Amino acid sequence: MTTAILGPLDFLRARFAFLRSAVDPELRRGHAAATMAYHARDLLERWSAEHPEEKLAGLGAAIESRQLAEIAKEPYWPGTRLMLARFLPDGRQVRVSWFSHYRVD
Amino acid sequence: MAKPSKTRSDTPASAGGLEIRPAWRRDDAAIEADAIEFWTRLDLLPPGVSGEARAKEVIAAAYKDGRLIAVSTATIEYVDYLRARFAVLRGATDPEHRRSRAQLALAVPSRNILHEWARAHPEEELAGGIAFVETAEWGEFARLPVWPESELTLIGYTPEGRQIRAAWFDHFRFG
Repeated sequence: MTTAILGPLDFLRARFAFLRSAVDPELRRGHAAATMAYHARDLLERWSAEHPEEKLAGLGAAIESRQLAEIAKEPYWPGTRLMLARFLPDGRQVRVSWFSHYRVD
Repeated sequence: MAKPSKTRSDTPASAGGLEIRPAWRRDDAAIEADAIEFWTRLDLLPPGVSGEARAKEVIAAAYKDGRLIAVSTATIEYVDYLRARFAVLRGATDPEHRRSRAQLALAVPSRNILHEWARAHPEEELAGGIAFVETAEWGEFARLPVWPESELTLIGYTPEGRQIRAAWFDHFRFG
């Protein structure tokens, strides 16, 4: 299951959707979470375009899972288009993927 | 900055009537002299900055009818919030040619030149390009979060309100 919380990223002055995924422990080694994230991005981008009043700018993520340590070496993830935008003081990566229809105020 | 160059960066490229000449780390005396003349004529050099030193930072130059009308330059700096070394990109265009889209014509060749150089010099650990953008100078274009030509993506704002845009080279990995 993937859920999303909408909230601001102050350093980007915009509102993003933050995904959380929960995967059956028996299937953690598969690609379920990544596959869900690709679909979630498309779904949220369509929803954002249909609801401009929501001013949803894209997808955001704070990378904290140690399971992602290897792919976190890649600053850009093509599937979700999540790009490393900055490190937090605690070492977590903040990644964002802007929706193509969005325009900065 | 994910797409590699389709043309060799050591040959001039033509774009919209402009000739793009690569200059990054080539010590090309002719381009350097043209760049110094360009900056001096337009009074673009900040106090205390020598044209000779700035000329060593030229990535590429755009020529029209044999005359240099725009340049892109870079210095390599460590960006702490990205924990990597970036080429800090700057550009200047002759005011008489602002409508020529010379900076846009320089954007992709400049990216490709730096990308190829970074690949050839892994010891430099150059992760990508970063630019600090005055939104008023770019108008509606500055509202695009991701610039299509250069792939420069909005990643923040300076305290003065300038946009910070970055693009990672696709070969780069954190050690």
